[in-house]
Amino acid sequence: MTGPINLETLCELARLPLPEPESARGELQDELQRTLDFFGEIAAIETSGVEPLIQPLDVDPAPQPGTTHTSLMGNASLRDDVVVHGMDPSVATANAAETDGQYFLVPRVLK
Amino acid sequence: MMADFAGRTLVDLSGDVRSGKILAADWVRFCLARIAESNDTLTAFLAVDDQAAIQNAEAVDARIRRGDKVGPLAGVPVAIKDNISTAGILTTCASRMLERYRPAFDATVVERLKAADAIVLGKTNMDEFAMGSTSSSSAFGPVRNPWDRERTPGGSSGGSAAAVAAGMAAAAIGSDTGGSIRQPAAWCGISGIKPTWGRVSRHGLVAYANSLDQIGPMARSAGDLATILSMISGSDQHDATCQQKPELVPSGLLNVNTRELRIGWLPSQFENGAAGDANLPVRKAIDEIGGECRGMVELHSRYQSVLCGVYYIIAMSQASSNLGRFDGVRFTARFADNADPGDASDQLDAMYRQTRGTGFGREVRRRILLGTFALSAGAYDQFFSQASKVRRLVRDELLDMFRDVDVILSPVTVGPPPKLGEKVDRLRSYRADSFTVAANLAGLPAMSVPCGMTDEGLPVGIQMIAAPWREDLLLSLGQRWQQMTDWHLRRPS
Repeated sequence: MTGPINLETLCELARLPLPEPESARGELQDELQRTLDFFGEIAAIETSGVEPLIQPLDVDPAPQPGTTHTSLMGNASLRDDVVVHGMDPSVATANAAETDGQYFLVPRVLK
Repeated sequence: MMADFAGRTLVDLSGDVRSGKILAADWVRFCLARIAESNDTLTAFLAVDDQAAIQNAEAVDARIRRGDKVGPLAGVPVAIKDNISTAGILTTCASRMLERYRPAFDATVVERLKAADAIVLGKTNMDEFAMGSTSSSSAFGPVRNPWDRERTPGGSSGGSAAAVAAGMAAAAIGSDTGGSIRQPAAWCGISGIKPTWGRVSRHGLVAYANSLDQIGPMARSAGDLATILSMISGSDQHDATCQQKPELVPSGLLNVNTRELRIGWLPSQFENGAAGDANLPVRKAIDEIGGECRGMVELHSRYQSVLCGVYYIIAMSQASSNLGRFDGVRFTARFADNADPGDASDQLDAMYRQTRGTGFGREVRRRILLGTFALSAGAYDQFFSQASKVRRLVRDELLDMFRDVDVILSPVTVGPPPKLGEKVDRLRSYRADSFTVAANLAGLPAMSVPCGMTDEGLPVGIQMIAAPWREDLLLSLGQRWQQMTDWHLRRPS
């Protein structure tokens, strides 16, 4: 079982607002708690000495033909480390809520 | 009179386009007419680009008339799930957060379809950010199942599945993080494959959970899937996880001698009502397929009961991180009321919170919160780390099974598609993914093909799973099955 979650801290970490009205918070908290209790069932599996698997295919040790790099994944196909032209700033900012065409604009962060 | 575009396979029809027997523009117009007729009810498409589709099809026809070379998918009308980037065309992920987002580039998979002369019709509806299995959490209205409009088509690639089932597109592209191609394919009576993790570039896919996500095709037959998969797979300099494997060709994907295959299945999946009556056709199909192959092996898993827990912890954790980029600054709408929150430094935070609280739907916010928790100090070891360790055990157990068998057969879903608006308990719906998530955890290729009908006349799918990079076994066996049966040819009325 998981200790009770602190909804306020969790919302702050996730940059999400606390649910409104206040009465909705208890409901959400209960729902999250129930899901976490379900997740907690995985504790029943013995895993001492087992390395976490972060991505599924670390079993293929074959080096990649034509690639010059060996990565942690063993067989990632990395491109050569040369400078290529990226996206033009006006294109990159085209979907932004607020922009001057060169930069993304955000509300003031300094006093 | 128009040719029978809905009743024939894509491979057949594109052959006729290339030989000039039929016009690509007629094929595209046929699909557009179907969309115009049914999309108001089904909401399978969120955006349709009629004009561009017809223009591109006419250009293909003109090249064929001139005797120019055209690609293997010449004139094939395809639909693209709305979490896959299309240059200049809205890519909303069915979320208010991205309701005005027009990507500056095509996803690699879209680029490759266009290079093969396929015709992109538009973008398909889905669960918001691919988080769900009913396509009802879309901010733009639920998708309906063409077989029974009171029911969900499944999800999250529900719009893609419904579009193919209803003849609105010859094929569609979906994404599969825990079953999102296979489950709606099963419930809509079509074929769908989640390739090996790393087989198809994910450049341009709006990430949900990177270590699980995979793009794949959905179509009417295994043969059609093979044709599309061979066009979209292969390494990509924009996706380092995409592997340089020998190039796939459709004939190579379909020429395995299926009589030599050893078939595995898990009896426990059918015990104690786990799979329900709706999966009786699956149980029957396993025997029929097994009878056509070299032998059948009963398999046992130690981890079946924890698969969904492991899957959801990993998926939600990665989602909480991936969705951090939606902040009202770079791609998205900004929802802020400009009320003075006092301190200037609080203003930015307030904007983030308001944007994310308004832009994300309920299920997305919920998953972000759970993922944030699973990654937080104090919970990390118990949740994310433990889940990743069990993931290795699950993966290794499956790879061990493939020493004794070539293909594992199993149900796709625990039952028929729920009715729209039916109250489904969340944990129950999470547990309903128990047959599909293992393939994502282990990165294995897995496919769903139609194998029967429920008593109510709803389609049922069977899942075929193989070892990494062995899509050829699945597609060859799927094609053999579709030569033995006609389930894949049935259409909703």
